[in-house]
Amino acid sequence: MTEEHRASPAPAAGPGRRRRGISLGRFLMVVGVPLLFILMMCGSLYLRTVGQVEQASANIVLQAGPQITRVQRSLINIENLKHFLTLMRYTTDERSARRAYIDAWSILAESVLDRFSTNNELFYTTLYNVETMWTARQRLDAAQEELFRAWNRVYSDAELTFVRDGVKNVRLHEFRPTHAAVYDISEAGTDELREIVAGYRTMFTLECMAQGGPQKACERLRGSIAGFRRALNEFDKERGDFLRVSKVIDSDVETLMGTLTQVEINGFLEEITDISSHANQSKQLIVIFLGGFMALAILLTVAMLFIVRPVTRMAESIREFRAKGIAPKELPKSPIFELQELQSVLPLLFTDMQSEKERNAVMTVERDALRSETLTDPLTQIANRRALELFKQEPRSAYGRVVVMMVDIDYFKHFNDTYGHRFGDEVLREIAREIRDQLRGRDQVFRYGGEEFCVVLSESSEDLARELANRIRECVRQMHPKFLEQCPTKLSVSVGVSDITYWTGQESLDALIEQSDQALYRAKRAGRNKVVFYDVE
Amino acid sequence: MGAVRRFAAGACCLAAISGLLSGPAVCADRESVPALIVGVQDDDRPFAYKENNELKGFNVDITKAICKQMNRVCGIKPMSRWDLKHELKAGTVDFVVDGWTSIDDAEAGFLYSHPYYRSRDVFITADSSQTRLSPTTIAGKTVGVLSETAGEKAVNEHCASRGAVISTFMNNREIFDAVAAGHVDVGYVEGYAAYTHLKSPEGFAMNPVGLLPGLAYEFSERCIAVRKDRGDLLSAINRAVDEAKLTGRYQQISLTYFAFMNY
Repeated sequence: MTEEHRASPAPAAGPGRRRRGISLGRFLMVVGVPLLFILMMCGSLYLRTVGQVEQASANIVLQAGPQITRVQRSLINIENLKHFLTLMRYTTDERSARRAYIDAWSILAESVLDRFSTNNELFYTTLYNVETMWTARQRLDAAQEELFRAWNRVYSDAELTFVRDGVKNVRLHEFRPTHAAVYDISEAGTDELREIVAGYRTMFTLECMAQGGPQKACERLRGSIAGFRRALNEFDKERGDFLRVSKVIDSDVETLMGTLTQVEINGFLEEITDISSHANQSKQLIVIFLGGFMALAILLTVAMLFIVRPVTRMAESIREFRAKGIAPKELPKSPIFELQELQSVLPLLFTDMQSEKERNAVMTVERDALRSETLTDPLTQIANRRALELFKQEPRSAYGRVVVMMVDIDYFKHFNDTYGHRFGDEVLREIAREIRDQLRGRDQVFRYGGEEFCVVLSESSEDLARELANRIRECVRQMHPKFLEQCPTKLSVSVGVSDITYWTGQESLDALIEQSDQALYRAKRAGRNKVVFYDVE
Repeated sequence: MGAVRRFAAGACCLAAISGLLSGPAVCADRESVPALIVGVQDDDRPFAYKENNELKGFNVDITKAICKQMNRVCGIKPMSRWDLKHELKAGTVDFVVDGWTSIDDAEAGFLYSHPYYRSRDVFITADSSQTRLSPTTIAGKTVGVLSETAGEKAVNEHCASRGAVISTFMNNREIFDAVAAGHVDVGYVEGYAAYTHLKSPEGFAMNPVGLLPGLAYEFSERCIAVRKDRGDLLSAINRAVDEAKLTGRYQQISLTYFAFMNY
């Protein structure tokens, strides 16, 4: 496996190599950060817009009452103005017309139609036009008076002439002047006047011709008829002026009405337009917001597919490698550069780790062997004094009551000197084996030095220690190995046994060794082949 | 649910009983509280004037409406324009309804209510050849104006400096008479009074001939005046004026005397 990875390493994405995919960092910088920024902007704008909508709605609510009152008042005032203008135009009563003029003038002068300064010009223009109309009305009244007078002249002249000349059968009563009938500024009224003129002319002409002679009478009437026609022309002119100004006023009032209504509702419209525009704005923002969230969702999905999944797979591979030591044959491909980099180095890492693991295993075996060699007495194959020192330092949690025994081979120097070192070595080997055989699994035996052994009994008792010590002594005494056949002297050991105490660490063991050493010394002095317990006395 | 119903029924009964008790109490209060004395002018059409021995006019009707709104008995005391100021200072009248503005008598130091009408001064003349007047065409003319008013300040500021001669009068009636007699070329008169006069038979010989548009004191908010130590009365009057406008009573009175309403 290691060789496979070494032989075909994943393609390295070096700077000179053309890479296929996208850079996560660049992608986040180009898409993620601006998107986040846009979303934040949209959020704040949305909040601001909602605030503006609230404000505009509140304004409408606050302004609605006074504005409606103003609209009502303005409409009543403008209706009054129209009423007074109509009176001014049509009433035959001069006093009523005058009062109507003053009332119309006052409405415009007091600007009660509205309080908006933008309309003042319009008010003043209308006011001046009303003044002009009043002047025209006065001139028209004068022209009408003159016309009436001219008509009367014609009529009385005709009456006088016909009577004087004895003309009969003339329907003169049909042309009797009537004041009220004359004052009519409508087209029909004017036509009627024209018919009167035409009637007179026809009548006089026919009658004069019929009478066959009263040419003189007809001649006399020509002057008053001409006067009547002049007065009629003057009346026509004044009536035309009056109508013209009236139309201007009508137009002014229409404009005023439209403007006022417009101005009055503009307040509402502005607020409503404001609300509408803010609502549209917030709609757009919501669309952008939703678009942003959708883009974010896509971004997250892409991240899940191309980042999270490959990373998870890589983590699984690493876990699998740690658990089973098997490197994955193939990792999922990612289009993200940074992950491609990681994927390219990961197999190398596996390979390196694999090699390291194998080297570690070899080193562990070697270390264990070395450790074993270092801590084992090569002659007796039991733990040596160094092992005892390490044993003392090892932390133990449940070692219970401990007893230390020092076992020393009696007269070993004598055997060594007499039978040689090889013999001595055999003795040491045999006794060490015998001691080990007698002990329990949890007990420890160390070669303490020369012919001296140190036995540590854990979870022990005084009786057990006594039993084991005596058994060791007895067994050594009973030993009959082959190499001892040439030796007449029996082997024996002296055993010094310490107090029993609780394990508290190195200090307690050192103390026990000291105690057992003292007890051993006493066993030697007492004649050897003895088991002596440590006694304070 | 039953408890709520019992509570509601109890509350209704309590309200009915308190309503029955409070009715006579209010009437008793109205009678026991001393009547308010209200000052108005004695000859100032259309605001206050006597007709068939009866006091009439816009100010009179407004006074009645306010007193009714305040639930107070009021006695209306007609007097000359100058007496109004002195009597209010002396405390012999409780408040004055005469269309004053703070500009008219700044030194008097009265308190002024919310405006109860709004008007402008207009030029009137009896000279039929006279056409439209303005501060620029008024040079050489004699202008009659009411003394110690915003109108006097306006003509002094805008006409006197342009060569007009200013002549002051004690009341509108004097100005109308002076204009009719040709003692002054034009009168600069409070609009509402002018319109009423111009519509009367005596005013038929006169005509409105101009305004002072866009200048200071163009429009004046006219108020009810009380003494400075009658802040409580002013609050009550303000409430009454506002309520009269809201209920439509004000508009009704306004249209009785004028061709329009401005509140």
